[in-house]
Amino acid sequence: MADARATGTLPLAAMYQERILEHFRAPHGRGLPAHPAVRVAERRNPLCGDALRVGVVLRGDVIDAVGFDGSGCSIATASASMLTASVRGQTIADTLRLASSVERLLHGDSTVAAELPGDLPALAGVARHPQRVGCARMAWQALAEAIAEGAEPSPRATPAPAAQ
Amino acid sequence: MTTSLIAEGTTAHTALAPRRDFPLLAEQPALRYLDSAATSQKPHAVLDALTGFYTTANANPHRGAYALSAAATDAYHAARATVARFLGAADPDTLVFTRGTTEAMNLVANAWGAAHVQAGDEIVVTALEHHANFIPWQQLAKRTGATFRIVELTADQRIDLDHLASLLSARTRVVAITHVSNAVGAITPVHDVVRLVRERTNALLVLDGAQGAPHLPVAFDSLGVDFYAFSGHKMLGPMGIGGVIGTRARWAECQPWQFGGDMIEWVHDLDSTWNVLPYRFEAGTPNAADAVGLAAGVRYLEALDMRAVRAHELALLEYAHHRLADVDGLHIYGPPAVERSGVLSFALADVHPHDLATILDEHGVCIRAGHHCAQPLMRRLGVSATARASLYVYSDARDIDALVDALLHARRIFGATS
Repeated sequence: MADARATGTLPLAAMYQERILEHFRAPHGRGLPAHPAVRVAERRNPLCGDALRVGVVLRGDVIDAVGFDGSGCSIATASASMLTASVRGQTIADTLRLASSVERLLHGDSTVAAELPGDLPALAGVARHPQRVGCARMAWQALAEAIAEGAEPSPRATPAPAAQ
Repeated sequence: MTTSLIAEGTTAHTALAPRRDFPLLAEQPALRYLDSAATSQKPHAVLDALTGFYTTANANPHRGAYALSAAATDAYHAARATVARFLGAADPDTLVFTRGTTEAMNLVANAWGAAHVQAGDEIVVTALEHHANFIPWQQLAKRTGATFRIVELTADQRIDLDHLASLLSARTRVVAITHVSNAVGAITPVHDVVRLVRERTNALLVLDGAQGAPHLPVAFDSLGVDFYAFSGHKMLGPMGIGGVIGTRARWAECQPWQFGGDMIEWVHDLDSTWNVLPYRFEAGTPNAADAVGLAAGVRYLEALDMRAVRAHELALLEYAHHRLADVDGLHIYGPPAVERSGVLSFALADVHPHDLATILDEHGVCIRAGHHCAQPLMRRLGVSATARASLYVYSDARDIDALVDALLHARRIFGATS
């Protein structure tokens, strides 16, 4: 039983696609943008102790630079890597729309896959592993927080509310 | 199939306790449950005891003047006596039931600590502690202005006894140490710790037995510590029951910390007086049913014999070390098996523990991936998490073989190279 599940096209193979593993081994956007106006937000996963920071630099309402750092599993890292590859040069509105589509994908709505750019559709396999959805969401939540942070005066890089 | 690498006559191939005794394991024969350090599976004996209490003796203990309430009271008292005997305490009334080790540590930190720790005092814990034996003391230190000191570890995650000795002084008011590390399995040399603490201080000495009581013989009366806390659900019992044994002298120094029914002698308008030990520290309706369930689990362990439990886990641990040598890039944390409880905490090359747990789950292998409620230890290891497989009386070589196969599969998925 275990062998068939592990080697077939069942949930494990769907999640650990080669595209995911490539992003994990060689992530895009590693490192926060070195810019005085960078906005940074952090998300922590209290279950596993992982923490990711996402930093953005805005030019008007366009994302001029984006990057991430911190420690994460393959899913968290691949998701962050895909994020940086897909939102650079996008408007804030388009980016938030994309984030909400990714959120729907992670919750099993595969109809949004067709409209997602780059390798993002590969995240669909995560939906079959509910305990890993939080890993894939970390970077997207941090991104939304980093964008929102500049909307009102607040200290930079405040720690995310860690649900301890 | 796998060939055995261990000597004949050991018990590692087969479980010490038959799988059929554990309904969940019997129902799922392919399941390889390797997370007993988180919680153990429950034998029929425990489930039957719970049902038995609720079907024959369910009433509120210590309250009704009718026969059924007396039966509930008797069952609760008998459970206390059984668990106290199992942990080597001759006086059952020195065992206070709690929800588990976490509540037990909060009880001691509040009932004893709040009355006896003040600014200038020092509280000593170790970097191995579970958060349950770390935060109550850290916060007590913050509240009182006491100094919080952390004993560092050796390179193989044992308590550094030299460092412990160097931190002990007349200012030391509390020493709180784990009996067995939940995260890496290191067994504390309790006699050495007791000798150091008693030689150099008058401190309260508290042992966290959450991972000790289920896996090692414990004889509280000859251990030399002041309090010993434990959790029932890690030793075959139900969730929601555990306790703390203390010496009469130390209990006498404690103030009640939770107030309500059962713990009072008399309630006046402006003040109250307190019931005797153990009731003084058991406010509210006691968890009698789960205490009865825990007692059944304890009798099951007594029938196995705790020395045999330890020997079984050690033999299986050594078998695991032989088999895991096949897995390139595997690093096992903690001291050698002989100084470790049945815990395998490990890293596999650059594969994140969370990914490992997911892949192992597909093989039916249940392990824990995370910080194990031991973030101070994780910081010292320089990782955010480890993967942890942990053994118990129903574990056998098939569990280890499945673990090895699944780890090899994880290596293939990730193409790990180191």
